[in-house]
Amino acid sequence: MAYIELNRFSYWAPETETQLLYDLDFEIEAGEFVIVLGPSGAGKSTLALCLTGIYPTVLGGRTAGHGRVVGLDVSQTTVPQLSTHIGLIFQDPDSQFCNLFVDEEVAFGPENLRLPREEVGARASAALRQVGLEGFQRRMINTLSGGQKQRVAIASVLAMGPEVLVLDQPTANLDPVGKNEIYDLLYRLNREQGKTIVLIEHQVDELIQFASRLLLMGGGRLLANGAPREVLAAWGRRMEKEMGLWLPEVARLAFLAQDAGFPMAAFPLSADEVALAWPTLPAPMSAALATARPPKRGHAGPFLLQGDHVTYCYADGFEAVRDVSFNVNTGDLVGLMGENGSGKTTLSLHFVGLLRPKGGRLLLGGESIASRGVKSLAADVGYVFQYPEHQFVADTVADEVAYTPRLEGKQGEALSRLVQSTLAEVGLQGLENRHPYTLSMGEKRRLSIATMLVRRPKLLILDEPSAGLDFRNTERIMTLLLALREQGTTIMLVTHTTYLVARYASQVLVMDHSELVFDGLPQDLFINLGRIRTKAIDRPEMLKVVEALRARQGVVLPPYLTVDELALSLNSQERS
Amino acid sequence: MQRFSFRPGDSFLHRTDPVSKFAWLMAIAFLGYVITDPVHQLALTLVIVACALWLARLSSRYFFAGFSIFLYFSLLLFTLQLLFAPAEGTQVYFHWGIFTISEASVRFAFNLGLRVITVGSSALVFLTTTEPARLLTSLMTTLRVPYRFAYAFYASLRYIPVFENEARNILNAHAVRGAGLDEGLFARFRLIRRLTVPLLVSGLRRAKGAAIAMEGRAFGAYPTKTISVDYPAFPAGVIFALLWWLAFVVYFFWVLRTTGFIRT
Repeated sequence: MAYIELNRFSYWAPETETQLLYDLDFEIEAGEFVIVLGPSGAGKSTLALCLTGIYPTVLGGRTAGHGRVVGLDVSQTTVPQLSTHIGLIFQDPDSQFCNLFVDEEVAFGPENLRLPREEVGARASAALRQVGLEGFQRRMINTLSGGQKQRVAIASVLAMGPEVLVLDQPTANLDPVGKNEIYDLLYRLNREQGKTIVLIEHQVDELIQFASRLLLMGGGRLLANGAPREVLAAWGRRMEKEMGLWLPEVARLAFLAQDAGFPMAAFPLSADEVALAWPTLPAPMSAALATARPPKRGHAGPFLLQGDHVTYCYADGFEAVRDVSFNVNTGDLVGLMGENGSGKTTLSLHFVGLLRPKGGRLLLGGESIASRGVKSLAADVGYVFQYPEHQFVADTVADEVAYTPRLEGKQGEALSRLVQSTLAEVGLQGLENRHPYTLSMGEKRRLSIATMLVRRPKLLILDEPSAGLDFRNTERIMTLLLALREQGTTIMLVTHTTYLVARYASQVLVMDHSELVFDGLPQDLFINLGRIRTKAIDRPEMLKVVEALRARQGVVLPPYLTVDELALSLNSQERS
Repeated sequence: MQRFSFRPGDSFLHRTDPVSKFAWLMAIAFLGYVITDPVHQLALTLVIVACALWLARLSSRYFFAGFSIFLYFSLLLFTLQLLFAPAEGTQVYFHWGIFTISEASVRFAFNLGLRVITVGSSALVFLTTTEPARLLTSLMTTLRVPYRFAYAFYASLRYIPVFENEARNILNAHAVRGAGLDEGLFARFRLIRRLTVPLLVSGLRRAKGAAIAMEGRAFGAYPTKTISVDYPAFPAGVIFALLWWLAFVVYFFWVLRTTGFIRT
């Protein structure tokens, strides 16, 4: 039975009358696991809000064509009625709660339906059991981890008894621990309890093999609808090159093999499938690939940043950083990783003087940081916060960049030249008079970088620089950072994203429970991940491929961390 | 540390129902208003501090962290009153230009300063010991407030710690740009202006998200909802509030008598 049926379904936004969805035509059967992909502005979130009746019933707008969820017309049925059949979960768990305690939140929906008290209790307990949070009833929601919060959000939707769950980037704000909790849960809800899942996501490496179908959207239209393997094989190149989407690493590898003239036997969706479909390569090429050594990444400049037994305690007595010692070389690109709450942000706030170590010393260029104020340090260390809006203080893009130089007394022609050249560097020329809030997410982040860049810091720290960005915008930012690095700026990425560290970092620091548990090269981290005390780091997909090839085919490759690395060594062979 | 948010506990004031506790809060406000003797005002302040430490069992560290904010405002008002309040014919201790310190201005200044501390810290006790869900249930059951309105109030309470957190992030983000590090009154005003825009933007975004999430769970589908939690009655709390009102009435009449409004 089809749970979702759209027939020439279109939607226009209220007031502006802009058409956001165009003639959508598809069906989703009971028990399917569907992933919706598409660039920002493709209409994915609009689709989610239409399926749950929020558009047009609550937030307005108008529809054309037919849309049915479990037989109910989405434009004619009230949201409360629809909510017992289809539930919606968002990206930010904090903005979807309206209660303080877990049990209140989960009981909220059934109470609104005026169900008898006993049933409210029974449903709430059952929903918490389904998401694996028994015993959490009286916990305050704001004391939970990101993954637990998102599970509470899912439980509170499950308590309404829906057949279909729609999730709009539910893991975007989570660390890898939280993300894996949610993926496991969605898999179980689908396989064991038969829930139909519609999931909007950007990065789908781990998930794609569980999906029964992939919907690709662009510009409010449905571009492709089919089995993930077929859609990726047919659309993958365009998805990456034209739409700027994140493609699973194994898919990128398949395209690389095709381009090299040795297509895989079947288009793979996992590392194991790559191993099964691995093409027979000519002996010299195999040998060359096997003996290639990934480029050495370490950097031997003088120390820029040194931590010497750094310890920090919050006012409530919590020791967030314990006895941390490390060295960072000038010109390195450092990844600072760790679970949420592991102490990595606390540590990084020390580097700009926002926190002072309670024990130990921090040196920048051999000088103690503690003796300098935030103002003086800001000239040498830039910090790009995760939410660019938090950092904006002016009303135009140009004023935003000019803000700090102006404080330092720069003005006139020299100032406007500086602003222009900085904006050109980050690719924002022509947007001088726009209000920073009206920029796209990628532009906002680049503006945020520009405001730091303008002072030519020795060290530039970026908190989750790829958060909320597609592949194209992430690449743009990383290219910009690499150029800065060439000029001698040391870069530090505070991040959960394995890909960024695997592809770009020359050094990794890993925090776990307030302690530094790893300091070294990315290769050493990822190869020895099982022996390092951390749960917060995903293994690179390419490394999984290397291991699967060895286990299943006896093909031995060096520990490539990304497909790009493998491509590099292929290219260098072709040249030689 | 997040101030002004509920902290679970099992103290006398935690068990007192929110409506009685609100009545207690009102009694304090009225009492503080009619007291004009600085010694009495100080006594009231000390009683409130005692209530916070013993009846609400707040840790002194937590309580005085919140208290210090009121102290700041209190000192500000104290100084203004001290310098500018009229002498009203009482003894003048000091006079220079527009500034006059007199017996009356000292009394006004003490009263006003202490009032701010009293009302502020009792409100802090109220917010810290009152589980918002219980307040909500009380509003709906005892005071018969329609639940759509009651929830609007509830939602605003939930967002206090969220915004506190966000404000701290924004201040940090501005500080590394060299903004907001200046001292002084004007710098404070500029700071508030700069904080307002990002907080408003994220507030609107969150409000929209929360509204959608609530609608998606049948909020407001019917005029009433199931109330599935019972809170145990606590008569001692009701008596406590009544005693405070009694204290207010008795004190009020005593003031009227001593000032000659009522003749005996």
